[in-house]
Amino acid sequence: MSAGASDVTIVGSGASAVHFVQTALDRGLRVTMVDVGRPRPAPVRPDDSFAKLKAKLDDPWRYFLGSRFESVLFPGKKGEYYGFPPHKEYIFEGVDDYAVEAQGFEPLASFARGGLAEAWTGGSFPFNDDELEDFPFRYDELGPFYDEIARRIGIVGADDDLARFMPVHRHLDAPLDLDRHAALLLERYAKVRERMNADGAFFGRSRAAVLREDRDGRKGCDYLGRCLWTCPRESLYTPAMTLERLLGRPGFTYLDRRFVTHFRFESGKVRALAVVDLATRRSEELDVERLVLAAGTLPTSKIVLDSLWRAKGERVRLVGLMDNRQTLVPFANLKLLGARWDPDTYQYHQLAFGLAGARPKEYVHGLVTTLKTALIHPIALSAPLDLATATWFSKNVHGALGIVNVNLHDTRREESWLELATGDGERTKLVARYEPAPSEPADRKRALARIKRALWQLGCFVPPGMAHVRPMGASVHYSGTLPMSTKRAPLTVDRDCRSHDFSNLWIADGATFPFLPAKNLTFTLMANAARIATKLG
Amino acid sequence: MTSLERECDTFCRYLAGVECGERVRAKYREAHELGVVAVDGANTRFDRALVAFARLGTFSTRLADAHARLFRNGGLLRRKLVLVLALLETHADTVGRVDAPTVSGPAAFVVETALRLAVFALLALLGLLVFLPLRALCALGGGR
Repeated sequence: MSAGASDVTIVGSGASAVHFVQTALDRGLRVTMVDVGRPRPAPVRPDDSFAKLKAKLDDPWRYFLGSRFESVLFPGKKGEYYGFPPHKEYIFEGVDDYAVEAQGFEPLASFARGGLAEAWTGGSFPFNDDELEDFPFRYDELGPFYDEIARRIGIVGADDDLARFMPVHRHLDAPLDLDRHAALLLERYAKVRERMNADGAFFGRSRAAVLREDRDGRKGCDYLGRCLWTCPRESLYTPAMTLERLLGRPGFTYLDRRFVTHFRFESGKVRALAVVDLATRRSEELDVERLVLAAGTLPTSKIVLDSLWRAKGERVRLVGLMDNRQTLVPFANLKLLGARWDPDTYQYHQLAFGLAGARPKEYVHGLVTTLKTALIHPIALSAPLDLATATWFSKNVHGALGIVNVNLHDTRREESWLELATGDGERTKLVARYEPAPSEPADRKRALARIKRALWQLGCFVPPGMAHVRPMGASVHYSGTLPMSTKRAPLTVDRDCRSHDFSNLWIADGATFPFLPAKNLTFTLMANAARIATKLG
Repeated sequence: MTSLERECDTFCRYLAGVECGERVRAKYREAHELGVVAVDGANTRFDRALVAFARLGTFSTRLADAHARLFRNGGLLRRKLVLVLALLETHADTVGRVDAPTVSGPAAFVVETALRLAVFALLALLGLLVFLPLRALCALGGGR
């Protein structure tokens, strides 16, 4: 079967894939996208605010807690400080054909339209030259693509103290209005700025993929307070929005409900893509001219491993798996204890910390979220008090509460890798092992102490014992298993992400990153994918 | 009203100071019918005894909860109470009771927190006197 007589066949519909496709279509190429593509449920009552939903929905419990109460965080349930909305569960729903066994790592995968970035909180932080040191190109090559992605999706932010860590690109729109808590933090920073800066701590506006004004069929942010609960106005960007708009473009074919198992190759060239039609369970082959894998680091790596195993019986190891270690640090602003709060505000990170590292690329990044519309029961139950006292406590600190999500960088190491496990028959399983760098516990402790110090200077208090170290895999910034390399080595790609093993294969996702700064990588994934698409011969 | 519904009412009064409406009771029943509350490992003889004690009234609930938070956090009583809190905070009629500030500034907050912590400490101590023998009795009784 031919993939619709396309010039390019791409696997996946996530952040990298959709921006690769948009650039390729702009260049006149014909593209077929192969994807599982679970659709997002339609938003409920799109004009209502978070608070109004509780009053107007017939069954608000079903919406907020789920039909099986799956979003109630019971004691002892491994969780975070806020539950995951039930209607977003589709993002992480698996398929039977994709299995992972992991150690030291809790991997997530997505088969939704738009991929993992459907759960993105919009953090858009360009890598600077220090962070691109291990990449085979510099910021001046990637910069124009940051500009282009910002033009396409809309990014808000400011040229402030954090610009020393994050280059200021074009099309950076003015930031959204701050809520009272965030405004207070920024005011306080202006007073203690010199002292904090002397400690290598900087503070300022975060950068987020959200619209201030209506654009391209999306509405500007109206402060409904529903960011965590899926923005019904499409102000907060996710890749499914781009996919929706690509569907109408000539030259683009979308094959959904297809799971890609592997590709078939001969003489160093990919010939066909093996897919399972999930509706009929029939296996089929699609002929390909050029293949682009953009399914996300883990699924892309599995496709490569499966392809090698099926062709040659080889079980190779892809070393260098990376992810950002994250620590959630809850804090209370002493000035706001007992204060009323407004739920009709932007909910994700409005502010961010930047901590200078021992080396510039070892920068530590902290995203500050001044929680308003998360459910409170997970916070109340984590307090070491009876629930009535904990509820009294949480309702009186709610207006003062915030969380810093502290990110550390990661490097490619031999000890963290992916392999394929094979059993009887055709079914294979991805095996992931992650071993933190020996210095990680000390780095984490140091970063936490610095964040606590900075928060104290901003008038905030971190309750003892409440910092939560997230398991590896939770940040979903997977990368590094098929890295860019200027040397022609097996299982690597060149500077334009073209495989060194197969002449008509490109890898367009995080698998190609040779280093992972302490920043959300989604913006860079999109910019790099657009860059590669301009290089396609 | 069934004993489960009375239990829901008692727990609502304990957490929010009001009786819950019929719809909250219905959701509480539904969660029990779906089996998300009394899961394996959270439903021992001692767990059931704690719940039975808690049902007696709001003071009993508070005493049992203070003990459970320290010594049986993942047990049946805590699961039931967390469920009630989740139900209360997700409806407009009740959210204000569990998620709107009641103190008038940082100083009042500090004073009231100190008082509440002291009460919690006393209840935890009293709970030890009441529930350690109960726990021993449950253990002697054998079975689950």
